[in-house]
Amino acid sequence: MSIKIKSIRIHPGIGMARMGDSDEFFIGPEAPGLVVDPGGSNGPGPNGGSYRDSKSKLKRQAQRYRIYAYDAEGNVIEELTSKSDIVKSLSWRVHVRNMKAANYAFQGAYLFDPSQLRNPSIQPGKKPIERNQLIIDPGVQTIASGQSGPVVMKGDIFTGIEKGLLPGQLRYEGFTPKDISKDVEVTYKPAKGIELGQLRLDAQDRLLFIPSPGKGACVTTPKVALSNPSEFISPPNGPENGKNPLTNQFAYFNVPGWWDDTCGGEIDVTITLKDGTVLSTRDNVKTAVDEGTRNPAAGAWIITAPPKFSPYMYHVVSITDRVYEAFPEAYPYAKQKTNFYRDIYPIFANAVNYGWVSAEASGIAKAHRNAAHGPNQAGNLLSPTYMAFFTDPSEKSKSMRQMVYALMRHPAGKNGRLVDSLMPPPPQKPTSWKNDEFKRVEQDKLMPLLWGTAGKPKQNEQLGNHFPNQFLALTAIQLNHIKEWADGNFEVGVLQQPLELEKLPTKDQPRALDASALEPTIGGGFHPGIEFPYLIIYREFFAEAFRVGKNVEPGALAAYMSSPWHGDFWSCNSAWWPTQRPDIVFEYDQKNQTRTYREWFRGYDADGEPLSDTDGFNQMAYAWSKLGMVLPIKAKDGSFVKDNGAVVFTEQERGPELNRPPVKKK
Amino acid sequence: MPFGTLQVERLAMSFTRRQFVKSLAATAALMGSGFAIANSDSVASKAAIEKAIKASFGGGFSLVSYSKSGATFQAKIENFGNQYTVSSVNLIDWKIIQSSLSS
Repeated sequence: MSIKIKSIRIHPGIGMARMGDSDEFFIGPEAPGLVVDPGGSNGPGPNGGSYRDSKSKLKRQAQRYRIYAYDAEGNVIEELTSKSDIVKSLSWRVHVRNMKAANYAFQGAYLFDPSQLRNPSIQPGKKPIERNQLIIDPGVQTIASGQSGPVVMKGDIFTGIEKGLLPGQLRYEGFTPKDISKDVEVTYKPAKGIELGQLRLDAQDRLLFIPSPGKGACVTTPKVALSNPSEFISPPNGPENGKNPLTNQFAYFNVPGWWDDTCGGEIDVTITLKDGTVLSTRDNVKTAVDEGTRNPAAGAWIITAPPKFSPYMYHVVSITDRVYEAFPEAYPYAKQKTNFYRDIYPIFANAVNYGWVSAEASGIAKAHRNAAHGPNQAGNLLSPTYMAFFTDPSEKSKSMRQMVYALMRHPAGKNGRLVDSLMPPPPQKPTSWKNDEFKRVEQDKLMPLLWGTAGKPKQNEQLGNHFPNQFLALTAIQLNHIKEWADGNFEVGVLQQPLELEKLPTKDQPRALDASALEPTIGGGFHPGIEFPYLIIYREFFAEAFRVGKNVEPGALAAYMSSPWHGDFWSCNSAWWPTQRPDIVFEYDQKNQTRTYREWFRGYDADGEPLSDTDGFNQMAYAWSKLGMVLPIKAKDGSFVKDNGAVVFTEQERGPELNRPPVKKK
Repeated sequence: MPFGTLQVERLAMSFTRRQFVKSLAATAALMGSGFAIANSDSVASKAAIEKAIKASFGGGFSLVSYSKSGATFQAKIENFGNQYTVSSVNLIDWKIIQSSLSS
């Protein structure tokens, strides 16, 4: 067997692990369309599992990595594990970092400015990768066959810094500057032993990457609270006419003195076969102990991110869609006729599902009432009436199909690609958006009605920005399928039930792993993103589809995300990505088929104050792990309850401590 | 920036939470199973009910009116132009008894 093996590759090429405050974990999806059970019993999961442990803590979602052997022609031979006849042992090598505090300030993709750094007074004038006092770096960690316990990856940050000056306009806990126009002297205390994640092996020595517990904190005295100073000081731009990313409209992406425990980085493996052959995903590895060099086409990557609170719902544009946008040659159905149930129905189903987590899509907001995606609204694309038209390729239904296509928004520019308006890539300042081809009036009547990578139109209006892509648009591949369908050039197909990885042919398993890890993610609007930043749109950062490029440092891509993530997670509370972070949630009366809603972000904070937009940036750091899941209701026969063809979703497994003000200690 | 403006802004920064009646909030926090507001004056009760409504339904919900009958509080609340009539016996667990939503 080993003679046939030319190379090995790890799948998924880019994995996704989601944080939780429980010590328990479950393994994330490994096949497209599958919602995995979180384990345990008496819960709402697909097999009766619970997303929370016995203490109501939110379980972490781990990513499993598998190794596949390839022949000289690039064909998949088999998965290699410690149980394979030919394998003697495996040794995994992982290097992750958190570089957020060291990175460039985020001020919107179109306003990226490499001269603006986070924590600008610390190690100024250096590149992000050189600002070692601001990087959590556990170094290279390994775990090998026979190693039973977990390898916990820990690092320090804000080391060797005693004092510094921060803007007086920031909000401080328990301290109000006398004159906010003057800087405040703060002291720093290093944060040590921050866990970025754990490595474990499953029973066949596949790698399990378990993410961090989702912690974040400020190291300064006085502490900087998560806030947006520009709301109070010289709104809307903030002080200094919005020039300072620590105090302007984007301040909550760049909070000084803060760390969080997300990470990103590289995953490699070296296998020793029983005949002594050594196979590695790294180049120049001759023996099992050689360090070698990274081969981006064979090694993998990890991203850690906040939880997905609506695991059954998918965003209309995922990172998988963005990968295919950047690498259209990797799109598996490029030369196939449009198939309604494979290419169109999922987009419609995703849109309808928003009707259970979004004020706009549900139709509860006056402006969208009776014109949204709720069960009995005009935009319930899954209603039996619509579906009869949509699955009919004849001329009789063409006008209906054309009407749907006409409602779709297209990305700005002649090629219909988001990336074209954001060139050159970071760390250069983007300028291409100024070209004539991107000048247009943004339309709020088109679909999807979600904010885009250029940020909210209202904010851009306030700032005087005339960016393209202020609303989300589907990718050109998705739009082309809808056009083919609208023109009648399609086959109907059948609704496919997702299959578990083990039931797929071996040759299809690697692609299934690659796609499924990134399918339940947000592929826009990227402001900057919630799992992976907008850098996913650039081919320049990737070796090929689903493979991060050779010269990308561990942590360097994830560094573009909000620092810390909590404030952004609160702030994106309307029309951003409600499938990960619901805006509103519903209760449903099955008898009368009626529903009522509440805001998802509600309850009492640690001080007994209501969670609200008044202090949401700061409260999210306390509340995130306690907020509710949005899940389908099961009927007695185990099927999902539906209303007018649409699956009914309600809030479940909300952490009970949010519902009561905390008992104060005497 | 004029000093006067600075002072106003500093004040605004200091008041970043809703200014509910703090003493009632503290009382509420200590009670656990119910708030001791039944005998408090009507202004204070309104603040406590408003706080409870926002905690139970979300910060975007506003209190339109309220009443108390026996041990039960009833309130009309509003959000996005939608109205609920809600009731509670402890100001923590609220039930929607009427809704203007149709779909």
